[in-house]
Amino acid sequence: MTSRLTKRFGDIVAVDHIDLDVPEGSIFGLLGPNGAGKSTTVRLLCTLLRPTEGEAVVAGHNVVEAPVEVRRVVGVLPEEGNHTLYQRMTAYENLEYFAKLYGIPEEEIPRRIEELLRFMDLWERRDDPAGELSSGNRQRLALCRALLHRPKVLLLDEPTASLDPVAAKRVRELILSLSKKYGMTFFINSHNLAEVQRICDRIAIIDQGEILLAGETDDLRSRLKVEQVFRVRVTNDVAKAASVARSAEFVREVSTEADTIVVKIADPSSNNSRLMRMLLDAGVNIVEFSEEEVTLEDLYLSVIREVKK
Amino acid sequence: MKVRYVKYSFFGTALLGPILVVMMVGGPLALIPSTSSDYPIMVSMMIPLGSAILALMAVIPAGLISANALVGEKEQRTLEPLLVTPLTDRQLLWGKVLGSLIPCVILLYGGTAVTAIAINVLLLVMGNPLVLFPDPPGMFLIFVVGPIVALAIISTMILISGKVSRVYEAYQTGSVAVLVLMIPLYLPMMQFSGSVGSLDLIWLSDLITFAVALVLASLTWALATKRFNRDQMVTQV
Repeated sequence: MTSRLTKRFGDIVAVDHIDLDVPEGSIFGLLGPNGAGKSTTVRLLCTLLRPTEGEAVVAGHNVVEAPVEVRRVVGVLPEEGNHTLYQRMTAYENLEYFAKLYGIPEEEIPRRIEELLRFMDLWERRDDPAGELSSGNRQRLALCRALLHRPKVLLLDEPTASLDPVAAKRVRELILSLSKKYGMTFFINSHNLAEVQRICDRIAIIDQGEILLAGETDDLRSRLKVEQVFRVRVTNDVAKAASVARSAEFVREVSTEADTIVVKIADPSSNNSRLMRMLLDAGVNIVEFSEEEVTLEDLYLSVIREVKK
Repeated sequence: MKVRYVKYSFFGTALLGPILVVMMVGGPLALIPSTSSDYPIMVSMMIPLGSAILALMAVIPAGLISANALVGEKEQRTLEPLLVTPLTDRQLLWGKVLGSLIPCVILLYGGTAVTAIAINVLLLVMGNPLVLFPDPPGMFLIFVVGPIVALAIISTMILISGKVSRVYEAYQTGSVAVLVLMIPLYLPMMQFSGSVGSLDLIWLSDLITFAVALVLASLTWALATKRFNRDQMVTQV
């Protein structure tokens, strides 16, 4: 949980009085473009940076008052985590080194490393230097490192940014299975909207250091008065249906596809029934009136547009 | 900086000191007959000089290792995971200091032992008597002052580690502390002007070096521990 958390670098405000509430056990996504303040937020939460103002409490520990306790309960996958391994050390040695730094009992270390490497399908590669592993494998090894001490909260900064689609999918699956297996809280930074949509149950959108929007992913989709696309399949005159739709002041865009018109509507919760009524009144035979799901991309662009206005 | 360059530099410097001193000290002493009137003069001149060179060459790797210990981790991007472990700042700094100081001291003491053996083997082969290398002031310089200078170099590196982002920048700046060891190298040369007795001047120069190194090490260590912050280590990349 953060309260008016702020970080300034000279005159630049990287994080501007942000309030975030991440429930225990949830997968939280912080979305925003590059330079929005996502990485700074993660660095504040894992005590790498000291807040200029405000406070942050992670798993019950204040980041300023109890930084060592915070570091004990968080696991961090830094941005481009696959480049943050000791390249000349083997996968096993990388984990062993950090296990010792985390104060894991000596007799427990081999068991825990084996469990994690097997879970991430890296056990067969344990004696390979980290530098010789593929990007995806290195990223998974960096995830193992973040999980070694069984953290309550996992902070992942752009976990799939430098990965190919297959490796990125594998990492997303891992996040979901880790969430199920250990019930830990995830805080994921990403500018990949589709990714966040797939795995996060709560999101916040940040831009220029400010939180523009925060809440449950599904709730935000329905709560926002964003433009929405409807597909209307008709049995008679498609051109007439398109013409009727174009005449409505709340319709932003109309296109046709065979027997269907695709209509983008502003404020859909009140205008979709108006559009249907207009079409029926004009004698259009509607056989299907369906809405396309609002993607986070729509949501994100809509919020950014609102802010810019 | 690539790790292999650091490794080559480390072993190169480690070997260079003993080789240089064996050539500079053992060579002339082995070539002059011990019965010659010049022999005691050469012994009194070359042995302190050899000790100073050995100390100087052996502490240089301290700069190399310590520059890599913090700035190197920053450059290789391995610092951030290290900073998010539950280590306190003090533990982190002690780890880095000992990690740099211990190899440097091993190098200093080991290099001295190797050099002493090599010089005396050379003298024996040439039929000259054994010499005490290093002599008492030299022992003080190598076994006491050397590690303090190394500590001064390491804490200077820690002090500047938040300000620089490249190993070579840190190495160039931090290694200035090694200049302290120029005092025992050059000050005894004044004996040739006839102003001060040689042994007194050698002890005096070693004590001055000790005092300067101690002040420098204390000052830089105090500043390094006081000013070290993760914030700066992460943001100055």
